[in-house]
Amino acid sequence: MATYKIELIVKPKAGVRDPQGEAVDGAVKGLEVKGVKVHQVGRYLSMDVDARSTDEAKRIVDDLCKRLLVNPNLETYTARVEGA
Amino acid sequence: MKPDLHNAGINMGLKPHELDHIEKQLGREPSLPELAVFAGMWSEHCSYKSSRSRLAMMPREAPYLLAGPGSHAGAVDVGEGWAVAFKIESHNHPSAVEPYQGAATGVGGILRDVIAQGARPCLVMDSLCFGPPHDAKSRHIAQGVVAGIAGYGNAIGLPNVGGKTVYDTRYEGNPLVNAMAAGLVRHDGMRTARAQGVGNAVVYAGASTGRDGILGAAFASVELGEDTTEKRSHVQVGDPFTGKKLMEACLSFGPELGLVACQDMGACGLTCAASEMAALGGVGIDLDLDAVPLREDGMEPFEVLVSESQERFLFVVEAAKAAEAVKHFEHYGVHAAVVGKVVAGGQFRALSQGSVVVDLPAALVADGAPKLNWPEAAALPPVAEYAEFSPPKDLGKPLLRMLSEPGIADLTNLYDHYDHTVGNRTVRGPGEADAAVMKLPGSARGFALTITGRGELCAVDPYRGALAALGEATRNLACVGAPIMAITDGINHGPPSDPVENRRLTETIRGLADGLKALGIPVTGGNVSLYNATAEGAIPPSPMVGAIGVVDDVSRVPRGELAADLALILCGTPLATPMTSAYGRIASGQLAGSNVSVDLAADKRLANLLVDAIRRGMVSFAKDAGAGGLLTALAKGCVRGRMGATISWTFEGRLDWHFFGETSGVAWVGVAPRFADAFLAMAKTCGVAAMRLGSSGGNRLSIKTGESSVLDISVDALRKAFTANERGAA
Amino acid sequence: MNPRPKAAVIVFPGSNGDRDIAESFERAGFAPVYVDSRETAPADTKVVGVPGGFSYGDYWRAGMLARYAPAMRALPEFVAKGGLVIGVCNGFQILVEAGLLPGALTYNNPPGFKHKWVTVEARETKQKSPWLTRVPRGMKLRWPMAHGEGNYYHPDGWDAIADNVPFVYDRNMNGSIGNTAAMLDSTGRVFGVMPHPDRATDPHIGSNDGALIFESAHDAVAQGLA
Repeated sequence: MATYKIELIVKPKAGVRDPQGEAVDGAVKGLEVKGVKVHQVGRYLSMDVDARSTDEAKRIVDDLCKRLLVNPNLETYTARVEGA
Repeated sequence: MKPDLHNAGINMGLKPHELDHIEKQLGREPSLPELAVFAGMWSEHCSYKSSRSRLAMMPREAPYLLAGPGSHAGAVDVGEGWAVAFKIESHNHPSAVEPYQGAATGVGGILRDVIAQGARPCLVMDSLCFGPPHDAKSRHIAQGVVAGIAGYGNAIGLPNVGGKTVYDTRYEGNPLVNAMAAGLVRHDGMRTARAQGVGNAVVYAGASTGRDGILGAAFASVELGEDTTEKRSHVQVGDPFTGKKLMEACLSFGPELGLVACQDMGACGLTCAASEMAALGGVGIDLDLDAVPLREDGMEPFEVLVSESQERFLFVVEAAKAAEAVKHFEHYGVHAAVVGKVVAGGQFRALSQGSVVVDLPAALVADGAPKLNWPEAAALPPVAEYAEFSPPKDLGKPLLRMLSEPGIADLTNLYDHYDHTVGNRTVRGPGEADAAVMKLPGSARGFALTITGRGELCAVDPYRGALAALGEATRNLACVGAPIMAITDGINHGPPSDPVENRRLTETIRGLADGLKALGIPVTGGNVSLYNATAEGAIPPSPMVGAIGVVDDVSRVPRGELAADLALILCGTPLATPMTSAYGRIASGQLAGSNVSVDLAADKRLANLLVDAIRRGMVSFAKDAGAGGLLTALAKGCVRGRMGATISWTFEGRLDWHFFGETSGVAWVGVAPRFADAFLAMAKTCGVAAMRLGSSGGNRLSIKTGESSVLDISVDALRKAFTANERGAA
Repeated sequence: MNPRPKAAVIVFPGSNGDRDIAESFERAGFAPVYVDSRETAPADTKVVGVPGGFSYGDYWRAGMLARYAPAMRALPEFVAKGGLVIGVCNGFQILVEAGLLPGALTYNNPPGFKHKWVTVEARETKQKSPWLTRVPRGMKLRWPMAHGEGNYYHPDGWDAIADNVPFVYDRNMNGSIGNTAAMLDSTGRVFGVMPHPDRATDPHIGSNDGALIFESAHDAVAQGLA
C-alpha cells in the first residue's frame, strides 16, 4: 500500500452553459484588461488515496467521481495522480 | 410522405395521424426543420392536445380578472391600482433527470411567465412530491430539488414564502416539482404577446442559444447518424445572474421604448414564442436564424428553432426603435439582436443562409394540433375501505406519530434554505400561518397565496380530491383573512393513453370545474403535466391549486402560532367516522381507504365567518384542520407558539376519527376572551357550528372528554416529535 | 425645511436588496437614489448603501467581482471626506473584498445558505459610529439573516477585531469568530453587517429594529456630522 496524492479538477462539460465562466469573463473585461478570455470556471479538490498502484488509485478516483464528485450531466474532470 | 421523413416524424414523437394532418394542411411534404417545429409545438406540453377540451369546463371569468387563461400569467385586481399576476408550472421530468437544474430552471421558467405579463415578481412558492425520505434515490432527488429552487430563487432575489411537501412511495422515481410565482403590476402596465405592425422588428434578448433540452432522446435518433443524445442535447442550466439582469432589462422596457409585444422563450424556445405571437396577432413573422446569438458552433437550423436554452425573451419592437431597444438590453449586460420582422399574412418563416427552411401557417403551428381523444374507462376501479382497527384509548401516541409523519412534520430546516424576507413584502412566511401574506407597496393592504393538493385523496377519488384541494385552499386563505378570489391550477397526472388514467383526468378537471363554480371563482390559467408514471405505475392524480385572496389590513392577520390566554373555539362539525386521511393510512397500514370527506359549502361558510371576524380584528389565532386532522392542527399551533392548551369536549363516536379525521369546514380559532361571545354569535349568523372548548396557556396540551382525560402531554414532547424527523429534504 | 439628504444605493448586476435598503433610507428621512455601479454617486451624496444580493451571481467568490466597479473605487475618498457607508450582506462582502473593512467573509459553517430571524446584541466599540447612535450597548435587535458566505474570519483572531465589532449574534449562526455579525472601520463611518437591518424597518413585516440604524445615520447627517 502507498499513499497517492490526487489533484482533481472538475469543470463544465463542453457545450453546457457555464454562467460562472461568463460572469468572470465579463468582470475581467470590465477591468479593461485586453487580450484575456476566461473560458471556464470549475472546482479543484486535492486528496490522498491509499492504493497498491497508480492504476488502482486512478480507479478509486474514477469511481468516486462517478458516484459522488462529478455530475455527469454537467461536468467532466481530470485527475492528476502523484505517487508517494 | 416519404418513408424516411415519416420515420423521422415518428422518432420526434409525432403520431401518424398528426403527420397526415400536417401534410394535408400544407398540401405538401414538410421539411425536416418543419417537422421539428411541429414535434415541439404539438407535444403535449405545448399543445395540451389531450386536455384542452376538458380544461374548458372550468369557469374563467370574473369582473376582477384582468388576464385569464391564455395569457402569460393570469392577473387579478388586488386594489389600489395593483394587479397580481400569478401562475403555477411543473418541471417534473427535468427534475427527475437532473434535480438541481430541473428545479432551478422550473423556477426561472415560471418567473419569466410573470415578467412577460409585465409584473415584477415578488414571491415563489412550491408544491413538491417525493418518494419517502428513507429511500436514498428519493432523498437525493429531494435534496437536489430544494437546493435548485433555493439556488435560483435566492440569487435572483425572490422570497420563497411557503408551499407544500409530500412524501409518498407513489412518487418514487417520478417526483412532482410545481413552482408558483406571483408578481405585482399596475393595471395599465400589463403586457401582451400579440404581435402587431407589419415591418416591426423581432428582437431576441437574453442568454445565447445552445443545444439545451432539444427534445431529448427523440431527436438523437432523427437522421443525425452517429451523434449521441449526449452530444446533441444538453441539460438546461439555470443562470439566476443572467435571469436577474434580463428581468431588470425586461421590466424597464416598456411601450415608450418601442415595446409592442413580448413572450418568454420556454418550451420549444424561439419557435413557440414567434409562432404564438404571430398567431395571436394574426400576422406573420420572419426569423433570420443566422442573427440568433449562438453559444455553440455548427448548430442546425432546427436546433436553433427548438432549443430550450434558459433566460431568453422575444420581443416585437417598433421598427424605428429596434436599434435603441438592442442598446437598452446591452446596457443591462444582456445580449440582444434583431432576429426578424413582422410581416403581412400569417406565415411563420425561418431563414437560414439565404434559404427558407420553415414556412408554415403560424396558427397551424401554434394552435393547430389535432385534439387527442383517448378512450376513457367507464368507471374507476373501486377502492376498499380501511381495514378495521381498534381505536386508541389515549391520543398521545397517535398524535406524536402524526406530528412526526413526513409531510406533516416540521419543515423549518427545509425552508431555511430559502430566503423568505428579501423584497420587504413578507407579512407571513413559511410556517407562520396557513397561507403566505404579502403587502402591497406603501400600503397596509396585501394579498395572500396558498398552494394545496392531496394526491393521497385523489388516488381514491380524483373528483372529490380536487374539490378537497379547493376546500383546503379556501380555508387556508380564510385563516389569514383573505376570501378566495381565483386560482391557478397545476394538473399532474399519469398517461392519458391509459383509459383509467384518462378517466381520472376527466374526474380531476370536473372536480376543479364544479368546485370553482360552487365557490364562484375563476381559474386564471395553469399547467398540465401528463405521462407522470414509472414502471411501477402512474402517480396518484395530483392537481395542485394555487389560490389568491386580498387581505384588507395586514396588521390584522392572525398567526398560526398559539398565544397565551386565548379562548379556543372549534368551528365546524368534525365527523367521527372513517375517511380517507393521513391518520387512516398510518393506523390501518393501507395506502388508501374510500370516502374522501368534502363539503365545499361548509368551507365557504367557514371562510365567510373567518374573513369577517379577522377584518374586525377579533382573531389572534386561526388554523384549519388539514392533513392530520383537527388535533394535529392544534398541536402544531402549540408547538409554534410554545404554548399549551386545555380543551374539554364531549361528543359521540370514535375518539380517533373525531380528532384525526379530515372533515371539511373545520378550523380552530383563538380569540381574546372578551371577543368570544361576539365571535360565537357571528358564527351562528354565518351558519357555522362553533363551540368554545377551552383556552390556551401553560405548557401542556390537555384534552378531556366528559370526565376522562384522553390527552395530557407537554408541548416540549410535541415539539420533539414535530421537529425530530427533520430529515426530509434538508 | 431642509430637503431630504441624499442616500445613494449602488446597484450592481445581480444586486437584489437595492430596493430594500432604499426603502429603509426613505423611511428614515433620506432621499434615496439608485446609482449604477459603473457610475459614481452624485457629488452631494451624504450616505452610500451597498445593498445585499448576488452581485455578479456570487460567482467565484461573493463580492469579489464587484469590488472594482467605478462606484466602489470612489468610496475610499468619499469616506475620507466624512461620508458614511453601510454594506448589508453581499454589500458587507463587497466592502471587505474592497478592503474598506478588515477580515474576510467565507462559507458558512455549517455550510449552505441559511435564512433565519436572528437576535443580535449591540456592543461597545472603540470608535463611536454615526450608524449606531440610537443603539445603546446591550440592546437586542431582531433582524433576518439570509446568506451562504457570512462566516467572518480574521487571520489575527478575535482580539484583533474585538474593538470594531458593533453586533454579535446571540448564538453562533455561521461559524463567525466571536459570533461577529457586523464590523466597523477605524473611523466608524463604514459599517458592514451580515444580517439585514434593511429588512426590519416595517413593523408589518416582522420587526422595526433595523430602523434605528438608518435613523442614526439621518441624525448624523442632520447634525452636519457627515
